[in-house]
Amino acid sequence: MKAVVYSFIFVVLLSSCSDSSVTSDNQGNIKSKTKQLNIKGSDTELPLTQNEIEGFLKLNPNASISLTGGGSSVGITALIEGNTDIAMASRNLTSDENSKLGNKMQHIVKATIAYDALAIIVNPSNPINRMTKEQLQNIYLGKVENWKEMGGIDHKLSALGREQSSGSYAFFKDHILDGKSYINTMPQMSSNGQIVESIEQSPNAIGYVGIGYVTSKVKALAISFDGGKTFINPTMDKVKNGAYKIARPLYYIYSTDTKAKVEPFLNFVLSDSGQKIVESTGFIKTN
Amino acid sequence: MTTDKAHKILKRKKLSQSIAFSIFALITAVVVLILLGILYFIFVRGFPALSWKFLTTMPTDGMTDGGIYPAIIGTFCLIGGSMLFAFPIGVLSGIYLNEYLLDGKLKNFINMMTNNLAGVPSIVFGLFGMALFVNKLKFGDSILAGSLTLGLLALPVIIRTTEEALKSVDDAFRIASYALGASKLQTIRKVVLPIAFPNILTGLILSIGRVSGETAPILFTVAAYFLPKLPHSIYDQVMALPYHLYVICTSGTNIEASRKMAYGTALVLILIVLISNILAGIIRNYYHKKNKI
Amino acid sequence: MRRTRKIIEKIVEGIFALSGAITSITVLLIIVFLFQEGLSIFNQKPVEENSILAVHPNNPVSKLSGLQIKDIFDQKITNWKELGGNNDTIKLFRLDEAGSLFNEEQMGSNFERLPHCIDSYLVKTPGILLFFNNRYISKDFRGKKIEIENVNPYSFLLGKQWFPTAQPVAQLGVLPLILGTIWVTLGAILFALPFGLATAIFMAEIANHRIRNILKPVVELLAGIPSVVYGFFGLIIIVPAVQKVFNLPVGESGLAGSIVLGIMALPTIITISEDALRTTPRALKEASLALGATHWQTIRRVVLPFASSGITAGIILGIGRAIGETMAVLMVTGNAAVIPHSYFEPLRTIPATIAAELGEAAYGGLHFKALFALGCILFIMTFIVNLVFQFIAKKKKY
Repeated sequence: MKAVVYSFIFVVLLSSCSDSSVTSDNQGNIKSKTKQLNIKGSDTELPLTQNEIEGFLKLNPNASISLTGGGSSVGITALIEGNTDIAMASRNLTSDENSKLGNKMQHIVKATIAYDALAIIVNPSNPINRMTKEQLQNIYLGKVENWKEMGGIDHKLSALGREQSSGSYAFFKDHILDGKSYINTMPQMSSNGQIVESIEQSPNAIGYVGIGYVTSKVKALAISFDGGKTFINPTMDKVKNGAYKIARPLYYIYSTDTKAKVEPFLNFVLSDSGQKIVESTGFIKTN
Repeated sequence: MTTDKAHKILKRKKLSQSIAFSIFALITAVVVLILLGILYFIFVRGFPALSWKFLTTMPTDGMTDGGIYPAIIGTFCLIGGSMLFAFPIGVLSGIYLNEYLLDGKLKNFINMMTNNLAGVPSIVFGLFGMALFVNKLKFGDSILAGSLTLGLLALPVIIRTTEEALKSVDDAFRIASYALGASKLQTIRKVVLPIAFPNILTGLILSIGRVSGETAPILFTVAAYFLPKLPHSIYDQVMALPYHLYVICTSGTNIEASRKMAYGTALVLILIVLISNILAGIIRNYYHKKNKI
Repeated sequence: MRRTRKIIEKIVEGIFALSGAITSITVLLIIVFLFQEGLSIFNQKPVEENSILAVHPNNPVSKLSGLQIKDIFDQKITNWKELGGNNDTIKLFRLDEAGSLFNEEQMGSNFERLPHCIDSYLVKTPGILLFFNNRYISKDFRGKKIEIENVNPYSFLLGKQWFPTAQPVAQLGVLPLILGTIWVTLGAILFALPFGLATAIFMAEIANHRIRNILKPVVELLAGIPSVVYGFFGLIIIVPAVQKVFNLPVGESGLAGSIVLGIMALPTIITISEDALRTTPRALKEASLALGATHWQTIRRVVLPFASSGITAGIILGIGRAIGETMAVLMVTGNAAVIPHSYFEPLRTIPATIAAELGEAAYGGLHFKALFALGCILFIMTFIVNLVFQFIAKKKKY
């Protein structure tokens, strides 16, 4: 009986203290008070941002920056909740996110730090070298299930995709599938690297990854966006001149409230040395 | 004739026994081989990565070089934080259950709840920790939130081992203490706890082993992908070994090159578990012998 | 003096009691938090806040299910006839297409005339299905808003589609995830049971003292290895092996998950079964041997039946562990949210879904709540498994 009474008191205490913390919400989140700069979001931007941080720390050894992945939505959600200073996003904000951010913060800045293209990759042993956008769509909608139908060998194919939190997932859906839903048997890999890994191992899989992730052990396909007239390889030049159309800007999103904290790092990323890191990591410079 | 038949039956029985036993021995050997296989695989491939530099420097070059220093420190922070919270409460709770509470409905209820808490999947702890500590109490992703979540996860283990340890203390000690006029609290403090202490300690060490390897509860409460700095306050995020292993074997631009790091990290994780198991065994044996004398 | 001491003793007892209650409090808090978030999903609509679906005022269709809307946007349904409406092709309009339909002059530099554009476009197009934000709704909007039903427990538990971030209507059917969890768990137990039981029998009955003293810590160590290490091992060894041996398009599959989980469930099953086997009274065994039974017959006819409830308890606890396992499964099963048909295809479990998606979900949003509802389902599953375990474990002490 006693324990029940005590536990009741404990719960009351706990809930009262949680109530008081709600009121302290207006004074800002604990997180934003610490000196550490928190960056969160897109997996595509993780290796890039990591390299940028390394470069930045060489110049500013006393800075403290933390980097967490999880996907574009993770970063934006954390920004809305005040759990991060910079949200890395590899897609545009949805209208819902936009209005939620607008409610909480005065002004939102969306800085483009680099461009990325999605490469469509297969195992090097696969005889197929090119594909039209329509064929690609059919694969990911589940209308094509065998490589034979694409002029390849007679084997069941497996189309790999990313997690639903990923910017690549949303970007590919909007630009290749024209907004239609992926077939639900698609394995959802938690990172770009995992897709590359799987494709290295299996001759009959196909997947999409950020161009910076393409290794020598996988083969990037040339894609046609005009129904098979011209096929375009995902190279830096072709992305820059706009011929390769599955390309997207990579953003850092932050609130002007934390400008002072964010800007030193952001300025470094946008500087020449920062942009050199962009290129060496396999992404495309902003200019 | 009959003895011959009986002999045959006996022989057949013997044969089926030896067949059955050899199958069991074979399967056991397979199980042991699987385990040794995992250990061998991690040790052989992880050992070359292990060096002083690996243990004491920051990760560099997109996690393909450098070390795992911040992840080690982060994991120790989380172990420390969670034990600071869970150990005292767990021990007090074990004392209450064994020394104060009489058998009855309340004790059954609390025991049931403790068992159920022990069975709650670690990801549910993660959900709960995120909802309560990170969001409701506004700790943010922080050592504080992660430690409390891990502490709750370790509680049932500590309570159980404390209870077992106290149970194994002979009632004669308690009766003798009361006969000398000591109060209940005095008896617990001066007589029961010192005897039970080594066993309680093994519980602590074993739960450290468990806490150090948990990933799901820290996923949304503390873990950082890359944070080449040591934490300054309990509101900072940290890197942690299990999450770091998850990250380097699934993401990064060059998985091939970061494999070496992954093996090394896995080895360090296993070593922590191994050392805590061995330590617990040593303490148990040491006091066991001492008590016998 | 005595009184103060008594008071102190009372206070200390109070502290003890409070600590004693902490597990119960935690369980209660978990239930409160989980179910508060999880159950609140059932009075929500599966659409984003502020978004509106509308049709032409003369369209007889006024209600659509979430699945129908998904099929429309996937262009599987292309005519209103299929939905009980007029014979009109469905013309989709999303807000981001506004730029290609109206020029800047029509919309205004700050989109102030966009609501009007949308409204007049709607009236012109009989087969239209509009999806936009209610910020851009004009005051005299002439379209007919489509009603969308709340998420209900029936469609949540039995729905076959899991697209929690789909636009415009999230598909929240958890059946594939529940079945995926059950499949992997069953596979794991099928794998672990023969191995675990045989090892337990060997350790309890056959092995001599020395071998047992070596095996015991080995099994304990197996139990202590972090799940992420098992996942890593699975990813590097088991996934490629499964892919090569069965010539699959990808090695990430239910089978790989079952093998990894099976290895992880082994120590639990071995430890508890061995304990159960050892509790067989010596007298029973000796009686059997004295009657001329061989050791093997004694094990089969006396020891195993006696220990059966304890072994069952071990299996059930192993199931409980396997259901809740997160990281290893996340790394090796491939995470396709589909109702499993074969162990050779990717599948997805409840814990893996929570781990992979919780970070992306906005706090308090639909997806967030759906994941908490998944947490509730997981909690209930393990809770039941635990209660059954405790019931059986208690029964064996006769």
